[in-house]
Amino acid sequence: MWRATVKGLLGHKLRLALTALAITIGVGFVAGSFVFTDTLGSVFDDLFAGTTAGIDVTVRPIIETEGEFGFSLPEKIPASVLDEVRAVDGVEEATGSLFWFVQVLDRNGEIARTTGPPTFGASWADTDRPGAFSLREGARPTEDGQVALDRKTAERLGYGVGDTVRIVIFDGPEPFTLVGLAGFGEADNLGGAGFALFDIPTAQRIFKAGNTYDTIEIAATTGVAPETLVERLRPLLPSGVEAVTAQSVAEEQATAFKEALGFFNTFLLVFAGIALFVGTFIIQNTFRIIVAQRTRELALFRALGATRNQVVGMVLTEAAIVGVIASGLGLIFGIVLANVLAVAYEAFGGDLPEAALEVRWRTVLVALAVGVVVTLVSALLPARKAASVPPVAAMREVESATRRSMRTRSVAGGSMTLFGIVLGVIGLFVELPFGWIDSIALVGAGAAIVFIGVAVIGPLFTRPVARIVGAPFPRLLALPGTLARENSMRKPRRTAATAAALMIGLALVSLATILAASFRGTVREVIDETFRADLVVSEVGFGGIGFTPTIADEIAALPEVEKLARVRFGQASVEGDPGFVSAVQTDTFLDLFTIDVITGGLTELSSPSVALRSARAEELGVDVGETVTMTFARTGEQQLPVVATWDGQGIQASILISLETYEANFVEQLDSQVLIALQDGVSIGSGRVAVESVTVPYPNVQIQDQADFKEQTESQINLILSLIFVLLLLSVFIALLGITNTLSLSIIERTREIGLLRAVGMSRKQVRRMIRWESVIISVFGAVLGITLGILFGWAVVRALSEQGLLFVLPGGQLIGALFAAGVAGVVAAVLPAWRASRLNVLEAIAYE
Amino acid sequence: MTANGVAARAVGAVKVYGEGDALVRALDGIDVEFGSQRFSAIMGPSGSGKSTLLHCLAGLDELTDGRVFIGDTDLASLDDDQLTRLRRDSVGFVFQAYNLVPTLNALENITLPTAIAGRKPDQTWVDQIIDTMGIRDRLHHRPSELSGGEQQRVAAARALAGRPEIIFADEPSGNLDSNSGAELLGFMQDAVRRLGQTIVMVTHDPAAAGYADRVVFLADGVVVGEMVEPTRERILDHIKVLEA
Ligand SMILES: Nc1ncnc2c1ncn2[C@@H]1O[C@H](COP(=O)(O)OP(=O)(O)OP(=O)(O)O)[C@@H](O)[C@H]1O
Ligand SMILES: [Mg+2]
Repeated sequence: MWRATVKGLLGHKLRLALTALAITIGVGFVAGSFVFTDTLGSVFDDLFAGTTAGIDVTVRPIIETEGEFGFSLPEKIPASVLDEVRAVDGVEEATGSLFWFVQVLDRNGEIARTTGPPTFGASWADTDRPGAFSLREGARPTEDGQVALDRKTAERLGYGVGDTVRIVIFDGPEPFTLVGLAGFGEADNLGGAGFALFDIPTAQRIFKAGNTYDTIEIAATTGVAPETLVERLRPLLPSGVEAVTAQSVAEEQATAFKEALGFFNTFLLVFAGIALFVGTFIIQNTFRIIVAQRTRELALFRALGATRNQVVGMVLTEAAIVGVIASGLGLIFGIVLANVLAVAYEAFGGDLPEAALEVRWRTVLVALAVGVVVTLVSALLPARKAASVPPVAAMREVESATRRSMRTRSVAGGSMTLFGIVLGVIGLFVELPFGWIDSIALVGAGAAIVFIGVAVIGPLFTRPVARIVGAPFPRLLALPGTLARENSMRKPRRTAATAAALMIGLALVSLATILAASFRGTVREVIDETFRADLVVSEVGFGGIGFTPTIADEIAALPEVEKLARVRFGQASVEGDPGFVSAVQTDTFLDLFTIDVITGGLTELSSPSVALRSARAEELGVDVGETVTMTFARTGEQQLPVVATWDGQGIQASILISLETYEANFVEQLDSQVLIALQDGVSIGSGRVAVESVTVPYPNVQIQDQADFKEQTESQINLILSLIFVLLLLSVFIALLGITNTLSLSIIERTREIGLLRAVGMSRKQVRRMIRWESVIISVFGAVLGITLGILFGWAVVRALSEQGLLFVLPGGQLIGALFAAGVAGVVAAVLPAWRASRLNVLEAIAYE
Repeated sequence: MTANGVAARAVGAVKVYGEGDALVRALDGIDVEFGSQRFSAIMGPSGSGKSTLLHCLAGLDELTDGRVFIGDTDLASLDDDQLTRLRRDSVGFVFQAYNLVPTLNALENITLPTAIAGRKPDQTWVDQIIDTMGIRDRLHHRPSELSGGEQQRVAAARALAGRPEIIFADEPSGNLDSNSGAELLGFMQDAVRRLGQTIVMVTHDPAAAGYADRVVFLADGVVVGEMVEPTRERILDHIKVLEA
């Protein structure tokens, strides 16, 4: 039996190679994302462990409003605390440090980086203890006017030791002399984020910190355990400040980085999953066809006494061998892919300290298991079909078509589709107790089941769709067109299964296109409706730092400007729930920005109070007139009355406060946006020129009008969309392999027929045309199914998000483009099979058995 | 083309398969002519090279040495495209089995070569053939819905439909019972006598060869004899002589 299996395998190497490729690609993505994230993970572990070397305990403010960004810093630690800490028994050395965001200007005076990770500013204590930063070149900054940069940033901007570097912190750019280049532990920067280092007094000055610190790092005297020191320090510290061991800080930081990476890993694994899912269709189809072609051979085995189980075993063994080989290759492909990702990571500014890629046993096992299991599962049905071949089929001329009735098929497929839809609808529209991750998983599972269901009923559509798609073929392409159409309808199941693989990719592509179009359309709409300012001054690139309020002061003084409204941004908790807060200038904001005030009024906001988004107010169960407990990093718990509820797009935050309230409760007083209305008769162009005269010294701010705004959001959406597209194209590519494979197999079956056509005068070109257009029918069929599903999915998702104001936009042109592209892809998929068909030896093809 | 012209001709035709020990001289220097508007048969024992000769004459295979002509055209001078066109426009085929394209109905199969050429068939001619072959009521059936005899008649009709200069048939009645076989052969004979076609047919069956105007005998890749106005009995006698 074993020898027969191996012979069988070798007998159709090429077909299986194409099949295996689908597995290899999917497994490659699984392995690649594991290897890459494992590597980065251990790099960060080392990095953070290394940076706390020499430090045993950290004193830091308790961060109550946990958020992803460091917008709302708590009150700083007064210098007096440092003195007290130094006096504690067991403290060998203690230094204060400070952090803030900075922006380094390039040689042209522009902000060096507008996307990607930010640049941190930090103090660098003058001590010989090892610490977070290591000197790579030059010297440490020891006096005002000096800076050290991370080596990556310096290299990227072409700065060397001795150069003058201009840096924007709160005010306009300030020149510093670059005295040294530093690393973060072993790495040249911190996961892509750069840093600029100053001595402590300079840091205090430029961060406007007075005589305070953000944290205090302590080295314990030998023999004193960090935990002991933490206990001793605790009673000394003012409220809102805590002492923690450096080790737990390192772990916290590494965990935070790894969580971010975990998202990336999940992202890649989702696409790997899609690729493998598409792969199962192809594998199943290939095995099905191979089994069908070997009906007589299998029947002979049965006639000679092989049991059903032996036949099943034969097919599954074959599948297992294919699975193992394909997964092995997939693992190698994955390592290559991880290398590519590492190169990309470095190209985006990250630095990997010459770490060898980490290929863990877990990765190897998962990769092999995934590949083999997927292959085996896909081969299961074909194997059972093989076992059901009756021995008598060996004697029959024609293959026994064990036709399952179309009725059973439509009932089975229909109920599956329905079940998938139900799952999806629950995921989308029903609020689940387990949170949104599970909702997404449910929607994903629902979609997968819908795909399978539609694939099962697909054969019902084969003939009608092929007839419609192929309707113009006979006239346009003469006989090869007629034959292409007929051939595509010949084995409805085969055609449908092949098309189903492409359907999945196209459904997802159209879903992404529809969502992007809907977001784009919604954003346009929102900007049109809400954006009533002529110009907006905002921060360049990485947001959330803000810019000095003097800019707005100067703009307000311009004769071209009628009025302006400042907007600030922060984080705070409402009833213990952290979220974003927008602070607005109450007297002018409503003239420049549209939101719907539902109850109450915004004018009362100028006294200490909040206005809540109506959905948020409902969640909290509060009405206008009642109070809520807000927790601010700086001032702690505050009881504030709710003066209004509102609704509206264009503001991310769900809590509005006045500038006055902001000033009272936040540390930093920086504007994040300034909305400007120009005087009547001043054009946008000349207004912009006037405002520019104010902002020129501040390269960290930009001026935008409505059109700029739209363009900016659109380019962001397009960027994300193109990333998703690239990954989805992978599954489309795998589906095309499937078409190539099916066509090759069909051509083998039709050898004699093609030989006959050649004998009676069909040219090679005509043979190629016949195969090519059959392929086009299959792929257009898949695309039609896929785009239809994609539209339905997209509509459902948009409906589910309609509460957030998302509008459904159908990008007709793009979807038709996708259909057309699928047709072209069909042509490409047919190149090889068509070539082979046209090269068939006519004589061999018509030779009698 | 005159009644006495030559429709196909082989000159010193040699076809060698394999090499070394496995070398087979399937055709070992054959000179033969097939007259136009004649029904010729090729006979010989199994492995004597009948099919090989037919394939080479029809431009489906290439000679190792020597030449073959269809009409005045030397097939060796044609490339694949030209050969394809020659097969399409000047040659018709009837094979022993698998003669029809399963996705096309009988009528579409009959007009296949003209459709490949992108031409309209000559309708009166096609009607005449269909009636001669007696398949008018089967025209819209697919091959799987036709009997073996009907399939072969459709194949013969297809071969005739494009008015080729010559039709080659390799054991066309080989898979048919004697009644259907006789019917098919009768039609082919009619096609030559009444419609002025030229047919070269390979057969094992002396009775089938009896329908032909002339029989060429092959053995071991060479022509070993021929007979004009053959009958089944004369052929059987001749074979006995050859085997003796
Ligand atoms: N493709 C091939 N490769 C090798 N040898 C071949 C090939 N085709 C035919 N032969 C050999 O050439 C010789 C002639 O074969 P051919 O098919 O012409 O015989 P035939 O007269 O048609 O026989 P039959 O009556 O059995 O059909 C035979 O010995 C055969 O084995
Ligand atoms: Mg033969």
